[in-house]
Amino acid sequence: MLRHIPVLVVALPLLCAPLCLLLRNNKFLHILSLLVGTFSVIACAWMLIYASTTGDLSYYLGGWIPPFGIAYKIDVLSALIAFLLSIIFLFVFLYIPRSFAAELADRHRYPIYSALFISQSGYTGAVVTDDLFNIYVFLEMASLAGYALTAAKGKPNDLIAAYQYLILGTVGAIFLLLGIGYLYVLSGTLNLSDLSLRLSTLLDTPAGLAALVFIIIGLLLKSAVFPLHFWLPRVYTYAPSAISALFSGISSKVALYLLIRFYFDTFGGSAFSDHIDTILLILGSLSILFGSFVACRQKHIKKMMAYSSIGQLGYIIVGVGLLSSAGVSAALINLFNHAIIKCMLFLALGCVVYRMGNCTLLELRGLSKQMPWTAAALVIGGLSLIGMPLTSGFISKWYLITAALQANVWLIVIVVLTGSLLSLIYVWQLIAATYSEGSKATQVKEAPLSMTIAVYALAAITIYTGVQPAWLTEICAAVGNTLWAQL
Amino acid sequence: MGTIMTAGALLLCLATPFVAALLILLNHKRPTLINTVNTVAPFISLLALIWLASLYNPAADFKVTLLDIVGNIGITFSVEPLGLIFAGLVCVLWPVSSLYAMTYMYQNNLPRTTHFFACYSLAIGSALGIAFADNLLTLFIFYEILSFSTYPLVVHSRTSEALKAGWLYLLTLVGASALFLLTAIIWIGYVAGSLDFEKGGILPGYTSAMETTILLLLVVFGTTKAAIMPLHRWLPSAMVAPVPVSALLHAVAVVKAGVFTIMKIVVYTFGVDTLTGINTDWLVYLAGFTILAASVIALKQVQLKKLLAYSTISQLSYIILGVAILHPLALSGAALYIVAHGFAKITLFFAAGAIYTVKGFSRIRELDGIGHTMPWTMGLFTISSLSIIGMPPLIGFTSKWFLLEGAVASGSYVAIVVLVTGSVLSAAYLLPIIHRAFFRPRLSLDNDEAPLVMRIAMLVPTLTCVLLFFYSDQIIALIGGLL
Repeated sequence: MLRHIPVLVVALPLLCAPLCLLLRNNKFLHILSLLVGTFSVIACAWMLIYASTTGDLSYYLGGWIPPFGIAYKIDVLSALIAFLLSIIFLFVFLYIPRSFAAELADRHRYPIYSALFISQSGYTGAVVTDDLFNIYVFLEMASLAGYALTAAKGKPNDLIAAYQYLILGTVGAIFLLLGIGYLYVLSGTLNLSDLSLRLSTLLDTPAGLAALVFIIIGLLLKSAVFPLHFWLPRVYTYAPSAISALFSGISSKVALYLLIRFYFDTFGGSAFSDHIDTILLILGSLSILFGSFVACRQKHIKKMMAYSSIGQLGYIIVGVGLLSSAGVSAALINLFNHAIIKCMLFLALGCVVYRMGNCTLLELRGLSKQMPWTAAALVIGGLSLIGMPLTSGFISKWYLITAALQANVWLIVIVVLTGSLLSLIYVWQLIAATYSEGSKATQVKEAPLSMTIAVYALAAITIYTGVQPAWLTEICAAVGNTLWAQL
Repeated sequence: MGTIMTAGALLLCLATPFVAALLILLNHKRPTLINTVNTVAPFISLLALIWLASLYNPAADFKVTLLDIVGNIGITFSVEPLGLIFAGLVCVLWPVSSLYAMTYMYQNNLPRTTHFFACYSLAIGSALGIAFADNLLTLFIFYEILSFSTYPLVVHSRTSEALKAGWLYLLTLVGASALFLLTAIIWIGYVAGSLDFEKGGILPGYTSAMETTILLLLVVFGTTKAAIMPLHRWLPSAMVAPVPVSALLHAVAVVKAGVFTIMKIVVYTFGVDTLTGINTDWLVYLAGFTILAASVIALKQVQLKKLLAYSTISQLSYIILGVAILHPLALSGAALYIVAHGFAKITLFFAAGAIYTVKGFSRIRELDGIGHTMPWTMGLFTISSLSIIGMPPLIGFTSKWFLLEGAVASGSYVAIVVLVTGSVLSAAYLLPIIHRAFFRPRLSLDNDEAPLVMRIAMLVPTLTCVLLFFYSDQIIALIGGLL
């Protein structure tokens, strides 16, 4: 039974998706989603423990041995990301019923569940699979569900956001597909492990370079790194609260996971990588500075957090671009922590929207009196974004700066620190508003319990990782060393 | 056995403020309980510290680790002379100022007392955490908690002026520490492979003169709590906070945490010998400039609290100057100065607060003849002022004497000139107030002295200033062990 877990974490949500359309009962779907979410967390935790203690976990679909059949391969890296995805999905599932009740009509909710399951299946699939074309298919599956989720409320702004997302997401997908096609033509295989063996002799060709460039551009577009970011703020702002939380935690992170996977695992040791890493460092730095700077000028908090995400993605890209074992593990630590922090912040903002109807700086005034728990969660998330000690953001920053020092790239240290200064500026606008005297006379209650629990579960992870980060840093260091050993 | 007792005493002293803050927050509907906590907790901490000091053994290598954070560097505490002195200052003044703060808050009918006292306790706890920190990471963590826990106190009135001051406060304190201090810490950890505080420093042999200078620059400009010019603006503007905050935090705990941080990093991370080998004159000039410039600005102030704030900026740089001279005598003087200035300055602030509470005065020209109506308050104000100017038989004299001796011994003429001029200037901005209070005709006829609690709160630190003058050799002996 345990042998089948890698395929179950993908197949189970996929099977649930059509089930939603058959059983249009919101309460039932809610329970189903929680069950699937819990199962995924347990299964992914098991895979993570198995991969980090025993070794890689392989699964051959239909018993066909690669390179003939499709294989799933779970190493520590993919298990970590799958675990992250499962946590975020579980808490978003917990959060959804009350949050959607305010935003969507009852009869519109079951297709949303369907799309959520497809998205879970797609993202998890893209992470665990060892097959090049499979990655494309799963990623597109998740993205298509994502376009639908963005437009869920059906208001004009949402539709524009979804349309933009659709066009740019598809452009990104085409780049990715082109890259994959080149690789297939070059090597004659679609299996990733097989590919990295065969590629080592083929990479110096122009076609190999073109494949790498296409794949990187496609993934950077999907993950919204500057200057390919412009679709993201709209999507995060106009999608339903739970969905923007989901996207902020997942969509760009999976694209970045794939970037790490391709860059180090597949293309590792290529002669031309020294140009690419400089480009990544530059793009990452620009992303940090641009995203954080624009975030300071936003009045709408969801938009502020969206730009902050663009900045935070830069930290991950920079970690990858440092091209060292410490750099990769710093990138992964940043990736994991930022996913949790940002998802938590968006969920907390969703609570504000749930009670106040909107979340600009104006609505936040006096929030600490009216919704003390939500306000406290915003403070925890905010401090973590700035990178204050005892929160996970500090750990991210610490390892990234250490990696930059080791690689002797001083400019990156300065950029990272400037980024955290800018984050202090935008986060403090939010916190100061929350704790200032409210001008509003309206009295609102604290957000519903299920929503608050979801927020605080993620806050607990943030603080736990800030105080006892050893579990995460050790896993990430192990991944960094493995990826580096292959180069 | 001794180790366990020491650990117990240390953790009791350190944990009490945090537990107190939690108790206050949890019982926000029970004012009596809050008052009890405010009265009892400081004394528990003080007794624990006395116990700890009696157990202190310089030879024992003693450490308590709470948890590991990055790698095997975690929250670790230990006891060493400098930390003991700073913790002593905080622990002696906490009971006094806690009583004063309660009287002040209720007499002036200030709102949000629960949050006020919770943050007050948190700030004390983090100052103690800084005092006992055994490595740079622990120090940094408590440094940041101190910044964040004092922010709500600065913006306590929630006026737009307070919010603006709070923003400047946070941006300067947290921004600079996150930019410079953290870089320095991570850099030190990277080159030296350790962040522990050790006798003689951990950097020797790892860094070039150039690198050491850059690191020292990062530390000095990252520790903005020390209010060295040009990063001093937050301190005068933070004076919008209620008086007890300005008194304990912005004259003692926060700013002393700043100079203490610089001192501790210089002594235990850089190592005095390492720094003697490189050119640190710029720090002498910087501290000297701050002393003189802040004193001159203090001369022109019309608000009593603002004057005291600029006086604090100038006095803090005496300590930095003592560190920058890099002579054992000057270092002893600097450590003594932390105590001397702390006790004297808190009395001055308490007096300003008492005058405000009783009369509602905050400008200097309103103080005409106030010495006749409030003889206790102004009398203690006078004694403390004399200590700051450096008159015997007060501890302010002893600390300045050691600074001067250090400056002479190391042949730093700039420092000597600055020390003498600075003393003259401090007399120039403090004595006119005393003259005004006692030798000008009184404005009001009613004889209303400050409440008894406030008078006691002013008396205790002033007496300590006198007593320490006679027992200063004990503190000197304590510091002597570390060089």
